[in-house]
Amino acid sequence: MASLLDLHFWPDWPLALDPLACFGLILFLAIALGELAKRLHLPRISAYIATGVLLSFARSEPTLTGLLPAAHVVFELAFALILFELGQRIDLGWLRRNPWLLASSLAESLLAFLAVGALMLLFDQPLILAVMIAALAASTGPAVVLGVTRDSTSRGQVTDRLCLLSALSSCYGFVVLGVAYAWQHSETAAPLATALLHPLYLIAGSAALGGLTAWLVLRLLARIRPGNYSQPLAAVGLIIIAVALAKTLELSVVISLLFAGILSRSLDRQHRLQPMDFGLLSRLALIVVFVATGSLLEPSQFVAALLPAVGLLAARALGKGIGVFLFARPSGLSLRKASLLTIGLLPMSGAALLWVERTAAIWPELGAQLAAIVLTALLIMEFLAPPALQFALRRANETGDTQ
Amino acid sequence: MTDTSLEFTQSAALSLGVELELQIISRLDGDLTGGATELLALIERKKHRGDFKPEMTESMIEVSTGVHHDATELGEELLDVRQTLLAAADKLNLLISGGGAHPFQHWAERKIFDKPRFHQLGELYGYLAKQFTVFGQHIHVGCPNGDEAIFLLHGLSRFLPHFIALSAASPYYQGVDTAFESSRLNAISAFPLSGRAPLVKRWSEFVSYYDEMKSFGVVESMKDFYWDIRPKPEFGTVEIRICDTPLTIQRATELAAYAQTVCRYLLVERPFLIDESLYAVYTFNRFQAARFGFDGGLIDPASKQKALLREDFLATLDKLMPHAAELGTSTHLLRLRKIAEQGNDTRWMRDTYARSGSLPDLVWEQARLWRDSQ
Repeated sequence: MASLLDLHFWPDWPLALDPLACFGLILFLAIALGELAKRLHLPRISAYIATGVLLSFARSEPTLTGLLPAAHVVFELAFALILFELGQRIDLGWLRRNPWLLASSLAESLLAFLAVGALMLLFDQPLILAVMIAALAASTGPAVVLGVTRDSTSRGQVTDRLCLLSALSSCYGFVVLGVAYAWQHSETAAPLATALLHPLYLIAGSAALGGLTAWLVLRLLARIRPGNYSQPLAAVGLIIIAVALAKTLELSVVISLLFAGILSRSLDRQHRLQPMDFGLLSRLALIVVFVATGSLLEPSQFVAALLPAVGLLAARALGKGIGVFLFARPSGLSLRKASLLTIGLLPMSGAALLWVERTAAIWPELGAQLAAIVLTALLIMEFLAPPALQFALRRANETGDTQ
Repeated sequence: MTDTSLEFTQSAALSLGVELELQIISRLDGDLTGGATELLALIERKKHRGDFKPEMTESMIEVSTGVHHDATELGEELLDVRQTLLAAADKLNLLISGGGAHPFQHWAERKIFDKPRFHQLGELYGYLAKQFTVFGQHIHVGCPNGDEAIFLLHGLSRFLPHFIALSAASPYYQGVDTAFESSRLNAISAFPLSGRAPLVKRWSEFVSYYDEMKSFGVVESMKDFYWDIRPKPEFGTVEIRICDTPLTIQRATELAAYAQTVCRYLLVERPFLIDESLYAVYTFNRFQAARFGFDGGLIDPASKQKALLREDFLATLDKLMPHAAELGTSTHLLRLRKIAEQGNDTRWMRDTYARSGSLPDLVWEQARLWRDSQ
């Protein structure tokens, strides 16, 4: 009988869950929670982060670890796409037309940096650690800003300034961290020349790669009919290549893609490519980035690091607030909108995760100290900031119709 | 019936004032964007000429001039107004543009400006209120008394198609070419109190009409009449509301000069009788001008002859020349002749779009023209 009924096509029991199925299930969970969040008048990205945190409890599940290498690539691409999009919403010419904005941007980042740095020294942290933490705290998370403004289809002064300030603060943060790294390298006995050249290579090289990408995007897309789906898809192709190049050349994906976005906009004299809309792809990218961020937040030292983390957030908010209010009037913003802008600047950058990871890989002890405080602060902010940002945009009357 | 508030304020005959509704545009994508609140706050910080007011939605701003007797002086004030507005807009990274409608905005995305009256209108008119994101030029011509204002109101209706074709600057609407020279007029026609004023011949008759409408609850104030031409008793003017906001300050000035000259012609020569025959052809002529511009047909209510709008306009210009010489508007009128011969703003917009094939790019070019035109 058995030989007559050959069931070799029948899968083995119990069924092994394919990593792909995992990805689909996670995606579905994130979307479902996202819609639930929307009903509760919360931003969808809050739900994506929550999905990630849920996922982190099942971290050691073998199917999930199998997913990791692929997830890493997808995450990087998604993040790159978001940075490029944010870059496209940045108009550096604005700083020329309204120099007070540059003053405001420098002030809010610098004051946040100083306030957090001083506080960390007060908590008896070593100087290098204080500088690294302060630099990570000084920047405003570009992905959260783009995610929430997208999700709520916001337009207006607060939205525009938020995008600009968050992109600029990410750049400052990156430069300071580059220098801090160089410094740490020289302390751990790398030759001084290497220590100085490395950040220079990172910054100049990333900027050059960004410029090249922008130029190629414009060149290529000029040949495709505007409004055609091929336009954004061709851009995505170039972005993927740029990410790969940045990794091969060991440059910064953040700066390269942000720059590519900014330049592809300001060099686009004929306004051929605008508005570049990545549509569904961009939505997917946001889900991937925030689920991944959520899954990497490790609240293991939450209780121990709670006090310095809360202090960090308070000092940071104070610094940013003062910077914004100081130049609100000359830059043409009412005090009411300045306070909304300050709330909007609260999200911390998820890029901190990558820095913590990188630091831990080079200096394990320093990385662990950095992780304790920064990741705790990030965890708190990832939950508080998106609803706060959405609230600020609503109060500024800049959100689109509820979707 | 007695407590009418429609006292007609006396003003100097043929004095001029202009209101322009302008588009507030994002540099990011060329779409309309909110910003009226910030613009107004910035502008009010410094002393400036002209008046700046919010309009129905956050993406509109209305500028207006003081009272002038000379169109050229009015044009100079408008240049100052442009300067003030652009300085504030630069600070906020906004573009300002003329044009009767935004080429590709989606009306559903518009935000009602935060002011009780605008919210009331939003409630009453529903989607029409947001769809009313169209931009017009209003020209006020001063009248010594209400009877004269009523006379001019009816007399001007004969020349309404000229104003439509001269100012037309809204061929694109919601992302498509509407085939109309002025698609803005279609957005206005949707309102129940749009169109023409009733054929009353004296101010007292108009007041009783108004009181009646008010007692019915049809209107609360004169503001609720969206007529093409209406009296404005507080200012002591007749107000021409048919024009699209042109793409340049200069065109706006020329249109005001044309209105002033036509009014003088009407007052001095009294060229035709005011009766219902004026309005028998009104909607036909209005449609033809909005759809075809100077190539449209026009039926002369007096002679009952049909002609091309262009021919009728050029013939009218000849009749106006002596009056233009008196008022000092001859150069303005000569420039208008060129428009009839070589093309209006709608033509410029279609040509520009044909070159780039991109509506956002058209908006940028419009903003550039608004900024740089001399």
